[in-house]
Amino acid sequence: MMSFKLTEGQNQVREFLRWLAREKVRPIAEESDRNHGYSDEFLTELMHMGISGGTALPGEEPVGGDADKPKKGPRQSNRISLIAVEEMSWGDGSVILNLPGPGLGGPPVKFMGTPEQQERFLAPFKLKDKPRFGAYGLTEPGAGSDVSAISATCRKDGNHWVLNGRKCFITNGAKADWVVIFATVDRGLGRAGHRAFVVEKGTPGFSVGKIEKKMGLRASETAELVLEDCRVHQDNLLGGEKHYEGKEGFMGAMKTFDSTRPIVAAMAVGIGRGALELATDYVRENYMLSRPIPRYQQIKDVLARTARKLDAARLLCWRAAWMADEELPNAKEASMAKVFAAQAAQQATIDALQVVGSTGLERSTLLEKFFRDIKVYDIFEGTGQVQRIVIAKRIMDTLKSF
Amino acid sequence: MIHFGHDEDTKLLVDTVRSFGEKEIRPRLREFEAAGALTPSLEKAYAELGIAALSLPSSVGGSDMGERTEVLVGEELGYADLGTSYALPGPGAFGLALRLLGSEAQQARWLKDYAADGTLRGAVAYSEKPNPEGEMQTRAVRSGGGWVLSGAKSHVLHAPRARHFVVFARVEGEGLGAFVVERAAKGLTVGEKLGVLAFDAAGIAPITLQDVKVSDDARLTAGGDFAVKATELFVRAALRSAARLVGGARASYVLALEYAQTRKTFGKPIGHHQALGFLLADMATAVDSMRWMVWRAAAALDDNDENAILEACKAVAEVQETAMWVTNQGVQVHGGAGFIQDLPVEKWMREAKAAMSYAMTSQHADELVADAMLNPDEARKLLRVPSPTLQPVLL
Repeated sequence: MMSFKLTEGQNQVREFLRWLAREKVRPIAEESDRNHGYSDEFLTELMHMGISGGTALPGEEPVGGDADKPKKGPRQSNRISLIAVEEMSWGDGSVILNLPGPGLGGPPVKFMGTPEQQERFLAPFKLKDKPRFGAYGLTEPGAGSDVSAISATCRKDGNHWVLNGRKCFITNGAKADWVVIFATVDRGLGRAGHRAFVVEKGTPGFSVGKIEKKMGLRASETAELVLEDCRVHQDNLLGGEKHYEGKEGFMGAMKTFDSTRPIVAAMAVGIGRGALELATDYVRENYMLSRPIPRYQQIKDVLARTARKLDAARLLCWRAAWMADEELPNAKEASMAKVFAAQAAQQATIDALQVVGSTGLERSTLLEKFFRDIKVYDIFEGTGQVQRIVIAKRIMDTLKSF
Repeated sequence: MIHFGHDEDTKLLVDTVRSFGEKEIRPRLREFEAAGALTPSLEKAYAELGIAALSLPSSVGGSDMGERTEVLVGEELGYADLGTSYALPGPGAFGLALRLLGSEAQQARWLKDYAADGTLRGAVAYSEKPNPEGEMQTRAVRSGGGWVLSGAKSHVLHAPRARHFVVFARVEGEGLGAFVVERAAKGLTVGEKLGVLAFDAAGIAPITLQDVKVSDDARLTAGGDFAVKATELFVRAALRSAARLVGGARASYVLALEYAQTRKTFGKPIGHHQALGFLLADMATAVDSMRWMVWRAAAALDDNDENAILEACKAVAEVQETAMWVTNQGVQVHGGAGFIQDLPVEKWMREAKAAMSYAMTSQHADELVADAMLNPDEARKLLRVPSPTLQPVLL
C-alpha cells in the first residue's frame, strides 16, 4: 500500500540524527570548514555512537539499526540511509564524508569481494579502536564522467599485479587504510579490461600526491593518489580473476553508483533544507516584525518555491531507495533523484543567500558555506549531464519496447 | 540610430584595459584573494592607467567619461578577474555618491585628491544589522553648527582601506541623509574584516560611529532632490557592478568553452556531446544578451532618457541572475576540476553570488520596474533606496 509515513524505527533514526546534527555538528561546522577537517575526538565520538560511513558492514545493520526489519520482512536499509544522511547533511555536508568506515570503498568490496576479502578488509572497521577509513579510487585526470576511459594500468607479474597511474579527487584518499583502485589490463578491451584492487596504505609504489583546495566541503579530505610500479598481491584483486570473465569489472563500478546516487541526492536535500530553514528563520525574525513591505510577498514566494522543490526532490530520492530495497532495477530513478535534488538544493542555497542579502556573505551565518558546499553535488557521482544521459537512454528504450 | 560600435579612442582604452587585465590581474588572482589585498605594485600600475579619474567630473580633474565607456572598462576588468575588479582602488561608489549628492564645492573638496592619486579608496556605509523596526538606526543629530552621527554599519566594502566614507543616517524629522566622514574622524572605528564568501581582496568590514562630529558642509543634500538622487546612486553603482558581472560571466564561459574543446570523453571533445554543447550555446547567448541590456541602460543614463533609471534596474536584475547562472555552469562544464581551486571558475561563481547583493538586489530592482509599469505617472515618486536592514546590500 502506498504510504509516505515513516515507521517507528525510521522515526527514531531521524529524531536521533536530527538531535545529533543540531547539537553536535552545527556548533562546529564553521570551524571545521576553516580547519579543513573534523577532529579525531569528534569522529571517535561519532564512531562510538554507532555511526559509520558508507554501507553497513557484514553482520551489522546500518545507521541506527534496522529496527523495524521483521525476520522475513522487506529490506529497508536504503530508505533508512536516506533519512539518515539528509539529517546529517542538514548539520554539515562534510561530516558524512568524514564518518569513519569503508566509505565508497565499502560497496565494491561487498558486491565484488570474495568472502575472505570481505572479512579481511571490512572486519577491521568493527574494532572501533580509532577512526579508520576506506576509499574509492576510480576518477582520473582524464576519466571522470567517462568511467570507461580509465588509463591506470595493471599487469600480472607472478603472484602480484603491477599498477601504474594517477587517481584524483579521492575522498579520504590520504588517510584511508585502503583504497579500491580501478585499473585496466588493456585499454583496447574497454570495460572488459577493468580490474578492481584493494590497495593498502604503505604498499610500495603507492603514494599520496597533493591534497586539493576546494570551493566547498573543505572539511572533507580530497587527495590525489599516485601508483608507480605499485605491486599488489593477487589476493587483493577484488572477486578474484574469475570474477572478470565477462563485463563484471566495470559493472562493479557502476553498481556502486546505482546505490549511492540516491544517497548523494538525499545529502543535497539536507543541505538545501538547512539553507531554507535559515532563510525562513531570518524572514520570520525580521521581515514579519517590520512594517509590511512589498518585498515580503516576493520573499514568501521564494521560500514556498524552495520548499516545494525540495519536497519533490526528497520524494524522488525515496522512490529510488524504495526500489533498491525491493531489489528493482533503479538506474533511471537513481539518476532522476540525483539530478533533480542537486539542482533544487543548489537553487535553495542561492535563494536563501539572496533572501538575507549581504548578511549571508558572512561565514558565521553558514549560508555561504552551504552555497559553496552544494555545488559539487551536481558534479560528483556523475554530473547532472551524465544523469540526463542515463535517464534519456532509459526512457528512450522504454518507448522502443512498447 | 541603433549602433553597437565604438569610436577609436574608446577601442584603444578598452584594449589597454584588456591587456592590463591579461598581464597584471589574471595570472595573480589567487594571490590577491589569499592575501586579502592587491599588491602595491598592481595598485600603482592600475593608478597609472588613470582609469579611476576618468569617471570623475572634469571640474575636479577627471574626464567625465560617462557610463557608455564606464561599462566597457568595467566588463574588461571583470573579465580579468571578477573579485579583483571590486578590489581595485579609486573613488568607486564614494565618488558616485559625491557626484550625485554633493555640491560642486563638496566635489572639489573631497574628490580632487582622488583625481590626483589613483591609489586612494573611498567607501559608502549604508547597510545595518536587522532590527525590529526595520529602519536605519544610525542617527544624525544637529549640534551647534554641525552634526553628530551615531550608529553601526554592518557591511562596508573597502572599509579596511578607505580614506573617506559617505555615511547614510536618519535625520530627525527629515528622513534619510548622507554625510562625508573622514577615516581619521574621532569616534569612527573600522571593525575587523569579516570572513566572507567572496571579495576578500577588497575587504568587507563593519564600522561604528560613536558621536562622530562633522561640519554642516559635510552633509550631502543633492540640492533638495535627495530621495531620487540617492536611489540613482544605488542604481548606477549596481549597473557598474553589472558590467563587471558581464565580464566575469564571459570569462567563465570562455574557460568552459576552451575546456569543452580540449577535454575528451566517450571518444570526443565534451563540447560535442549535445548536453554540453547546448549548455555552452546557452551560456554564449546569455553573456551577449545581458551585455546589451547593460549597454542600453548606460546609453540611456548618458543621454538623460526619462526611463534611464528603470532601464538600468532591468539590466541589473537580468545581469545578476544570469551571471549567477553562467558562472555556475562554468564550474559545471569543468566537472570536478571546476570545484578545485586550481582554476578560477569556482572563485567567479562565489563572486557572482556576492555581487548579487552589491548595491541592489534583483528583487529591489524588479520592484522599482513593476511599480513604474503599474503607475507610469508616478514612476519618479516611487523610486526608493534599498532597505538597509531586511535584505541589506553591499556597497
